[in-house]
Amino acid sequence: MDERLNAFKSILFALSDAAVFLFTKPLGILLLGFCLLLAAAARLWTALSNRRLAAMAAGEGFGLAAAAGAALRELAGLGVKAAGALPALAGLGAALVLLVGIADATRSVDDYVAGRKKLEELTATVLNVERRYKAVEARIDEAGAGRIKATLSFFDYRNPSAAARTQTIDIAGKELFIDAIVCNFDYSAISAGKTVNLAIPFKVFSDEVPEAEGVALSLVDEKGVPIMYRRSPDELYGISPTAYDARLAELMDSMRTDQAARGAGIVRSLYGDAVHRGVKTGDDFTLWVEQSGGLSVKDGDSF
Amino acid sequence: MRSRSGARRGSPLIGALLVLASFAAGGYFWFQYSAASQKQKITRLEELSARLRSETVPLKFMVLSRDGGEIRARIRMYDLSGREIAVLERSWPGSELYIDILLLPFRSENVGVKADSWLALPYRIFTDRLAASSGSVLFEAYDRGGFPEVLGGIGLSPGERADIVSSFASARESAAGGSPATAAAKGAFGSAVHEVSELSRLEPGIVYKVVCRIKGGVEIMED
Repeated sequence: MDERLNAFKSILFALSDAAVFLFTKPLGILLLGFCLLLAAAARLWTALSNRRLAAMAAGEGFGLAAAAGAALRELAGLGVKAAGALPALAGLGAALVLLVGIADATRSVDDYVAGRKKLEELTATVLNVERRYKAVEARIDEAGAGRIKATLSFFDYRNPSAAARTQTIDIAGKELFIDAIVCNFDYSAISAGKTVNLAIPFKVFSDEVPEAEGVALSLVDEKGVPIMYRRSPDELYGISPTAYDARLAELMDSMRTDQAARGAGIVRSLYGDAVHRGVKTGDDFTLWVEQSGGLSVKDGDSF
Repeated sequence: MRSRSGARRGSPLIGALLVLASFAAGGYFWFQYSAASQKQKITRLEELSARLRSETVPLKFMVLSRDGGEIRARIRMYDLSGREIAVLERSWPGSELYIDILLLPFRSENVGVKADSWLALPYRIFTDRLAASSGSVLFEAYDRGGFPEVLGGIGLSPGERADIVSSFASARESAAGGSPATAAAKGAFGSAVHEVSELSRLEPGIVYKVVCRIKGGVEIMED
């Protein structure tokens, strides 16, 4: 049905475009005028040839005056025929206008339908890129006298309501750094909703304590898979546990092999990001994974 | 009598034609309005999508060498038009370079920009072996009479410029007073982007850029 409709549309658009070209564009009008002149000239030439042959057969001369007279009579005849055909020409004109109108209306409807599809895609794209996922919630239990005691809750992006693990830390300093490996995927994959950018927190340090001496976060299992992204079999839908594990391992591999990931065009950037804030007792803030890229920090009371 | 009856017969036809024409005209105008409205929505979403993907690059860097437990790098800073405004080259103890960007919440006066946006200021450089408080603070490198030149190069209203100068002054004061510069404004935070030895080593001789996103995210990408 679609094929037939498309074939019909192609013919309609071709006829409409031809009519618009011939009757509204200077080149088209010139071409049309030239064709009409050519037809009239051919008609005149045929008439004069016939008349000359008839004159020769009758043994009469066919001079310039006779030829001019015959040509004028033929042209007058053409004019009379054209005048007689005016209603038909007007009908043809009206039909062409209708044809162009229908073609334009069809195009407008097609554009509108295509616009609706584009609108849906753009809306999904914006929603996907604008989205953010909670990765860590930090609550400062105590801060002062050069020490920070905090409780960190780590979240899986698929289950933001319950922490996958909670860990308390005690470190010297005034500013808390939460260090994470960040993997930003290509925008095409993010905007299509095929994947989400990932953040794997791995260490906490401070303004006084360098990263090398920071507190490691035990968030990776024995297979090297972050615990936030592990699933029990009954949590998986539409994918077998084996396939999920394989996919996850593949993903982790691709993150480990930076060159391979970039070569495959799936990872836009892979790096570490230690987001930080000066803290005081009672502070709470959330670390978000932005789908537009990177990490951001928001106050606990921002939402 | 015949003509009156003819008029009676004609009236419903004319009426029906008028109703039909009204529906056609109404349909036409509704369609035109819907199409125009759809175009506006598409334009707005395209702008929003482009805005979400937009990036600024306040800083580029290149690791020059890693010798004897030190990492040497050249840092170049740029304004928003891409003009280089400062260059710094030095060594730090350690093996992983941390480039700290201070993100201060900012509300632009630009029409249509309602979402949160951030001022991204290169803050300091430290390493995995050098604590952040002992790192190299970068504010002085691009301070031009109190205005952070990394945010120059675009048209700013006097109000926006004043807000930026005020935020920058607060950040500098906090940093100079031994407090975290993130204390300069409510909601401010820092993002110290760095290499991770096991995953993505920064190759000496290759230029990397620090990309700041509109929603506060910061990335390291190869230039």
